[in-house]
Amino acid sequence: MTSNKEDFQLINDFLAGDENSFNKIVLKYQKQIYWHARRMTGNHLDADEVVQEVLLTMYKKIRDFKFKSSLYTWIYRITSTRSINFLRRKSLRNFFSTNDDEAQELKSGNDIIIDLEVREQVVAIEKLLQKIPARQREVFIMRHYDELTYEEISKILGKSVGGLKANYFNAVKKLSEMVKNEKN
Amino acid sequence: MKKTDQIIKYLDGSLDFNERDEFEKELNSSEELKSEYEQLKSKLNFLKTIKNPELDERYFSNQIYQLRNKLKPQKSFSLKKYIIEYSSAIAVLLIAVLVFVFNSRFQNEKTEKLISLEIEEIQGTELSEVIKENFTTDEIIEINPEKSDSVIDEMIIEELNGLTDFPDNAISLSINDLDDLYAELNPQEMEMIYSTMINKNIIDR
Repeated sequence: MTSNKEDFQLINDFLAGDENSFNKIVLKYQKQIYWHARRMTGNHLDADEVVQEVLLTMYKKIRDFKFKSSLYTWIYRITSTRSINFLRRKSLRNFFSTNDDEAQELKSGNDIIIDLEVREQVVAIEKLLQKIPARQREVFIMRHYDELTYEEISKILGKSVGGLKANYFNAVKKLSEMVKNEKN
Repeated sequence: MKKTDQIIKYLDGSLDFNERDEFEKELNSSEELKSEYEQLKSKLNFLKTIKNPELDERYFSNQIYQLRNKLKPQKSFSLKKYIIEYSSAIAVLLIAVLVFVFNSRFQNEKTEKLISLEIEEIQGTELSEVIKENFTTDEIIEINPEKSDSVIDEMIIEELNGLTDFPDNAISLSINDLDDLYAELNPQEMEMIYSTMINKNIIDR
């Protein structure tokens, strides 16, 4: 877990007028934000859109930060909300859109993963993740990739530990079934 | 508890001390359980292979620059720019005004329909049902502009959640979600959504 003291100092410096402190916060957390958004949306371009929304929201809302939770929890909460809202908008857009194939082609051609072989593997796993419901995916990502405890996830999402466990177990069951089919 | 559930909970560290002890004993004595356990563990490890791939760092170094650009003060208001940008919406508005003037002579007949149903007395779900059964969307707006938004939203939600070609993993929408979405969609997207809904006969023209 990251240092709260250091984070709180950065926020205070920013609130006192040091814009560079916000840059430092971005540099510190941008990869975590990116990976959560990417695993939720399933591709780089959509993740980039979410990341920009998250950073903009952070900048606008940081003055309201109450120092009651860690900055990490606060940022993760924003990232989670922006990702889910993005997926809702995307569901609507996909339903009404007529040029899906074109958009999909554009998205698959844009990536920042350097190694091509690794990129293919990542894309294959991202496709599997996209097949489970967004709420289960969200908990699976937090638990499996970010290795957060249920208590930490509960603070971020505001859900009960029991409900989160149910989401995680269902996600594991579905994914393990899909991995089996994929290998066959 | 099913074996798969037990394995998932064991790997997750969610079994209590006694359950874990019992599970480990069984794991050491049952080849079948051991095999299932190894398989699930290997699948979860496979999913973890994407944890930290090497990324193009230029993307991240550019993020602050992009953000700062977005935060720059907006240019001063230009009426001409807005007229061009919203020309289609303005055209639609003008047509709507003309249609309204032309149709005004039918107003009395619709008001009678409204009074006969005593719509002001009906609330909640009952109101939605009565309205949906008896009126077109345009009539709802004319009859009761204050309640029309919520009734139309409900109709949209109902249709969207019930549509079979909506993706399986889509999130089901509630009225609150729709409000959030409205706040985030731009006028062009709203226009596109409404025109598609009209074309698909989800709402009336």
